[in-house]
Amino acid sequence: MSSSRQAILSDVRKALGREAHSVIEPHPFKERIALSQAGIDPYQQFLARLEVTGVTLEALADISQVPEAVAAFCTRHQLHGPLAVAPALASLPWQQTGLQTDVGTAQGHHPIGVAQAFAGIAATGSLVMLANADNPAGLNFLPEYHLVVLDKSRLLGQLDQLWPLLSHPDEGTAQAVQLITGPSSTADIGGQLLYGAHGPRAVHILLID
Amino acid sequence: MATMTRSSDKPLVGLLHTCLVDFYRPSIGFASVQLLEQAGCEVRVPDLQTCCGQPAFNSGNFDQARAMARQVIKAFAGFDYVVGPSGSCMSQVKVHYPQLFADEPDWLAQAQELAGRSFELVSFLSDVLNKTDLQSSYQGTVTYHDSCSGLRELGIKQQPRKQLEQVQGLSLVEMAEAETCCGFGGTFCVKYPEISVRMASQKVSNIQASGADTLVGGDLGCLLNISGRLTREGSPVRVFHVAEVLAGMTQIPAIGEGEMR
Amino acid sequence: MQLSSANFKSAARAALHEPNLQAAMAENRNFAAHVRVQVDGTANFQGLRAQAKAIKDHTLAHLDHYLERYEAAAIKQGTQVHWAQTPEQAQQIVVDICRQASARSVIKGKTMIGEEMGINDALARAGIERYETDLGEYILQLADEPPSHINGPAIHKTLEQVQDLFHEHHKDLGRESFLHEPAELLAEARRLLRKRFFEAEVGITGANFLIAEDGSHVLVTNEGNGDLTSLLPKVRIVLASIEKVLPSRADAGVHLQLLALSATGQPLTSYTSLYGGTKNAGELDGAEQCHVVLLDNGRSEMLAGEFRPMLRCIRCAACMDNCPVYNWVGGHAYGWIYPGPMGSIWTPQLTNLEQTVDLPNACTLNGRCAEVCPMQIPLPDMMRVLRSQHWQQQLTATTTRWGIGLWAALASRPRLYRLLTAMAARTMAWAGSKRGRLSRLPLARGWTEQRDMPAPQGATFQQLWQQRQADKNGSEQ
Repeated sequence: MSSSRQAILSDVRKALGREAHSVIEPHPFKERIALSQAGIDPYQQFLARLEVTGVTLEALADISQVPEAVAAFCTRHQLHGPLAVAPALASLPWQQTGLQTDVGTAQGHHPIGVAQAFAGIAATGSLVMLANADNPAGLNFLPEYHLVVLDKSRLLGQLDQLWPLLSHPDEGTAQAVQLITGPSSTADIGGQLLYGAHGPRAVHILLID
Repeated sequence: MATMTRSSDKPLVGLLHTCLVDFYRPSIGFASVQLLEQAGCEVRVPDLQTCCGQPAFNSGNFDQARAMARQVIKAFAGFDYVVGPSGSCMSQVKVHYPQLFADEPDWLAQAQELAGRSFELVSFLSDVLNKTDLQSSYQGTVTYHDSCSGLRELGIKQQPRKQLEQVQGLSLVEMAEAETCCGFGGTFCVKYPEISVRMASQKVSNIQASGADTLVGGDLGCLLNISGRLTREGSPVRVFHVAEVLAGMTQIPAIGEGEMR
Repeated sequence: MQLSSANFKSAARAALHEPNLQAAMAENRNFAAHVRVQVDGTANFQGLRAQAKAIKDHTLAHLDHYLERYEAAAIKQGTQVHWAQTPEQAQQIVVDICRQASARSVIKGKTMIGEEMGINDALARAGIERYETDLGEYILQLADEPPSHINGPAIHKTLEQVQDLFHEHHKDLGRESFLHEPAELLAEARRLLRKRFFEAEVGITGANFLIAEDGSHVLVTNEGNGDLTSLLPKVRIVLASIEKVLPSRADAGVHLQLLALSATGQPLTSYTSLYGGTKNAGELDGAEQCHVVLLDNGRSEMLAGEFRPMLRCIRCAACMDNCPVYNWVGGHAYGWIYPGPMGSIWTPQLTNLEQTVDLPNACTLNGRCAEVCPMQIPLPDMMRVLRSQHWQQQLTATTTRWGIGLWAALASRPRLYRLLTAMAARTMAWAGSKRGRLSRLPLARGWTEQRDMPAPQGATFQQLWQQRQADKNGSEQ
């Protein structure tokens, strides 16, 4: 369909009165508008947003406490595994949990997926997940319970602060960047808000302080 | 620019009475004159005015809309201010005349000049003359309907409410969805009567739920529509134009009311 | 989709008398009010709005450039970019990709561009099974109906209607009891669709934005169905239109926040995902092929004229959710894919002017849509431009044409005007003098069928004013 390509581009240029390789005026903005006021503590704002979206959070002193916390979560919700755990978190002491732990992505039979967030956004209450070999995206969508490890130092105030970090060469290429701002939800059945439409019915953050 | 013979050094105001007020309810015109005179203006009523051309404009007949705009521009040349008791007609003058003459520089300049000195009545009293000392009274509970053009094109929202609060004996209550269109919409009300009536009925339920005994608004078109539905539903709610209430001219039958109440 | 906008009047009348629809639309009014509270409580919303408009205007003014940049970046990520001038070309592209993948079934996320392309019918003709995964779309697939809203395609369906639909269509699957609870219905749909996600060879989604900087596309959902559709099948097809491109991720960030806020009052939807191309070596999830289909279908023509601002539209649906007409008649009355105020502009551009005359006329020009539009699209002004095109092309209703013509002729002759209006006012006042109103009026049945016409006071203002001036002059002499 390369003829369609040429036709569309030529129609667009004709409509704009432009030639191929005409001058591009500079982009109107370098700085983007932030959604919330300055002077608010990002952590407090993050917690306030989570209240609204229905995401829960518990703070841990050290990342080594994650398996224990996951096990306690499972007990609270009467979940018996197996756990699907991101390769990024494979080195943690999962054997302590006594639960079957599969490192990799989630399959249909995993009720719990444990993944590591790249960052958090306070203004929107979002978790930023990079889909790559260390953090398979299936973990974020297939299990009913999504447990996310977030380092507090990775909490950003505004969405805008995220983009430069993603362009950093150390980050490698991610197949996808997923901003998660609440459990999977729908209002399509008679207008009622329901959780767990296709993805997780609950999102729980393990915040490493 | 035409010059006018002045009989005083008061601001000279040309009243754009609107075709609906001229035809249906001259009392709104007289109330407007009284309010303007009390506020220290000298008021004149050009007899070359008929209609601002909004029906033609909104029907897509831009040529005739321009012809009528030219007539208004000529009729109101030389006044310090042009004031009318309607957000919709004044928005036609203030906002849409300049749009209509975008491709005619001579007329555009005149349209812009007219737009700069044209105002809807209540916002003129509040924002231009800073008039706050009203001497009128009305016994009743009033709810105010925000007409769309005045609200969204001219920013008329608090001015009528602040003025109404000055009226002795009047208590103001807000109805739900006060900013929602009543379904008049010029020719819309006859082109799509079923939808229009549904919107008017919703407005009527909101008025009734507010507990008000009087509906007040700033555009006669909307008031005719709402009143027409109120009376058809047998509602006792009375309907007045805001100018009538502010001028204390409410001893006459309300809109849609007969001689014998 | 068959264009049936010419039946607007009868469809709207029927809609007004459909109790299920009226219940659903009342719910939509409440929802819209809730969303506005969130928007109004958001600091810097107006600043964000102005910025988004400026970014999009810049992008549209250089659309060829950004499309080429997007394409180059997407190819670099392993995406194949296909261009379609017409819906038919797009259908062919999609069917060919499905055939090459030997697809027996496809799973599909909600895509309005897909509706515009007519993908559903094309897949059916090609014998490919299609499973809608957005719950609203799933409900509509069971009901065999088109969407009535661009974000909540099934907002016109009440809970009772969904219960009945599920009962009727799921009974073959071994279900015996009638499910009442929304949560039970959801669990059933989730279980049924989960199987389809794993089976399908191809996943089709729309795209909310395309990003020129990195060749990715953005997908916004609350259910997460779009992500499963993108991630699980081997082949991913993304349906988009040419105006969806934005220069950078940061630009998309501005638009994404506006979109979520204006659509549902959320600062971001539950899932906002930027998808690059195919999966990288060592990755466990993701598609092996990624195809993007770019549709023009009249948009390049819109760029040239006064409808260019419509191309800023981010499909948040704020205009329809806040439209008093849409909220009474529902989306189906508009007779095509895009309903409400935005649809009343899009539909004539993408189809034709002749069969869509009602759309920009069924509007009171109340301005609420432009007030809430996050992209500041002057919708009422464009409604008037369409009406002027009707006038020029003799498409305006004959009664309106005559009425306006006569009125204008009269109004441009002030003396005659004063004489005739004075006579008419006196006559009407006399006829309605006792009750102060008329219940019947010749030539105005539309008005008086369900409401009264208040009677004039008698003399016109001009008559009374001139009398007053004469009296004044008399007393001064």
